[in-house]
Amino acid sequence: MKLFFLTWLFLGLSVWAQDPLDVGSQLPNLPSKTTADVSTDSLAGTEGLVLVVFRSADW
Amino acid sequence: MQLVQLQEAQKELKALGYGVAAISYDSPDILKEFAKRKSLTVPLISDPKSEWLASAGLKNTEGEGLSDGVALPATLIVDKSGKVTHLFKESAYQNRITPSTLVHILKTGQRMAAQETELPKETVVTPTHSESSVTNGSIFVVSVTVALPENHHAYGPKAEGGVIPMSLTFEDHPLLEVVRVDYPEAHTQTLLGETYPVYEGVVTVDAFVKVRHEKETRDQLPDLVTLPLKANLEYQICTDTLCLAPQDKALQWILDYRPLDSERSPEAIQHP
Repeated sequence: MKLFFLTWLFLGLSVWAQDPLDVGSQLPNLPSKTTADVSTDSLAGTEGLVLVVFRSADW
Repeated sequence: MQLVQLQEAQKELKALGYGVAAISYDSPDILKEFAKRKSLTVPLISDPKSEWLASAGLKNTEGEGLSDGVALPATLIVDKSGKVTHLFKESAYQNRITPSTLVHILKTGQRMAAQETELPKETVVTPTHSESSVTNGSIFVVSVTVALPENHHAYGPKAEGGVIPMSLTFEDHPLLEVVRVDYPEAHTQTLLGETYPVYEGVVTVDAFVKVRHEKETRDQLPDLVTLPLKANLEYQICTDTLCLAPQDKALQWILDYRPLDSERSPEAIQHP
């Protein structure tokens, strides 16, 4: 029973962790480390935020 | 290249009320060096363990080596409540909607919401595009705006029954791929006992176009070249009692090409 419960908990957390964003989704809180002088909470404008998810600045 | 373009579009996006930021799995040191090297003021957010990327479902789970933890390429527009209103995801990192196209989409949305366009005395067809300079993998929008006179209508793309529906078709181009064509929603109108989907006022048809990124495509592109994209717009304008002859209007957009930027960070801070 315990193993069954743990299996379902693991699967549930896995699904939650990988739930893809879609139109209508709420954006998860952004990480705090940024090159900006303000916190990531303050990046949005009066209408919202444009966020580009990119591969790497290194390669 | 893409972040440099985002930097250039930042002022326009801010004028529309949108903050701008970018996120990757790079360390803060890599991002700071890159921002300094490219003179970027766009905030770059570090997610070195890819935890945020995983929570957003944007982590490439098949990456290995240098690609382990890398993001799936995406651009999001989020409203002030934090809700995602637009999401552009690509299967290949080389493909990317351009920042100018984001400005184009946001401006069009705000203009449509304001409904402040004055109608002409005769039908006016205006081609526009979101990006004048593109590179491999760029995704941009070419648009056609049709401004109809008052008391005139055109037919939506699904109209049947002997009328000519509005239709935008593109000529094949070896380097450009039309990903999709978006027609606005038509409203229904009953004319002479038949019901049709129709457009009135100002109508804009958007086509999302991609510059192919494959090596064979890049080999065909010298340092600078113009890319002509041709299309035909078919439509028919009617009043409640009279229809004008169907129109088949030739359209063309000319785009400049910029090569990709492949410069890396200094060796000491590169990804292992």
